[in-house]
Amino acid sequence: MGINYKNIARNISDYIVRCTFFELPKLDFIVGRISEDEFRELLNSSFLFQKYGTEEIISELRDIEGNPEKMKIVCTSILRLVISFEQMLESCPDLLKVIDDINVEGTSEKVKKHLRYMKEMINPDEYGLKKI
Amino acid sequence: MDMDYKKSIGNIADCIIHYTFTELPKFNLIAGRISEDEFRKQMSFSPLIKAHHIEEIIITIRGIKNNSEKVKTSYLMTLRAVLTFEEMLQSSQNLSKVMNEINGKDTSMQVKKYLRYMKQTIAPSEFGEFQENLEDY
Repeated sequence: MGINYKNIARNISDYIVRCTFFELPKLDFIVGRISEDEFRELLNSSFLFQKYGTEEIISELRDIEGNPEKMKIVCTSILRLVISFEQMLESCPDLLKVIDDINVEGTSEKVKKHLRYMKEMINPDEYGLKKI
Repeated sequence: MDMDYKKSIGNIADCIIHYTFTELPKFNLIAGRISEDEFRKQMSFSPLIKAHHIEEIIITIRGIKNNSEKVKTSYLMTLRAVLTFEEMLQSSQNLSKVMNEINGKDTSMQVKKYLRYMKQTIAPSEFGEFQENLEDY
């Protein structure tokens, strides 16, 4: 039986979208940019997160918030994830079209924007805007 | 214009292979499991890395090895990438077939083995100890 390339592209795109939209509020919460209530609202309002236990995640994140070592680990992990996704989207720009196809128009732009935001926030020295 | 899904997936498979095959020797050098000469030899076999980059990588890794904080950060970043690629391969099992098609049979098995090796070496308490050997590398 032949390989269903379209199906693989959809799976990968879906994975990238889910991870990106999931990691962003986690990062914002850890660094104190959004409150617990805002985080809860974000997770509960999206069908993407229905499989996750919101309160369990909040409990884990509270633990991370109070521990700079754990915070660094999470930020480092997110950074690597962001870089991997950016490389994939760069080497395969058609994935962006697939992302818009299976979600709504503009989703791929949001994904790119969120990835850039996370990367620049975690490591502004390396990825932030260079001052001339 | 229609999308060339085959090409797109080929690129993604290539991206995972490229990362895995270049990260493994880097990881082994940082962990002290291979020497700089062994690293040079392994990298020189790879069509993925240009010769002049090998020495640059070695210099960077020397800097990492001398700083336990940098070693830890490097491991954590490797672990995150490994988990991402494993999850992708799991959610799209045909991706393994694509790897074998474009790189030869068993490439996907090697990739999976290397990813597991790195993951289990970094966090054996969480993922179990790697019990095979990498002698075919």
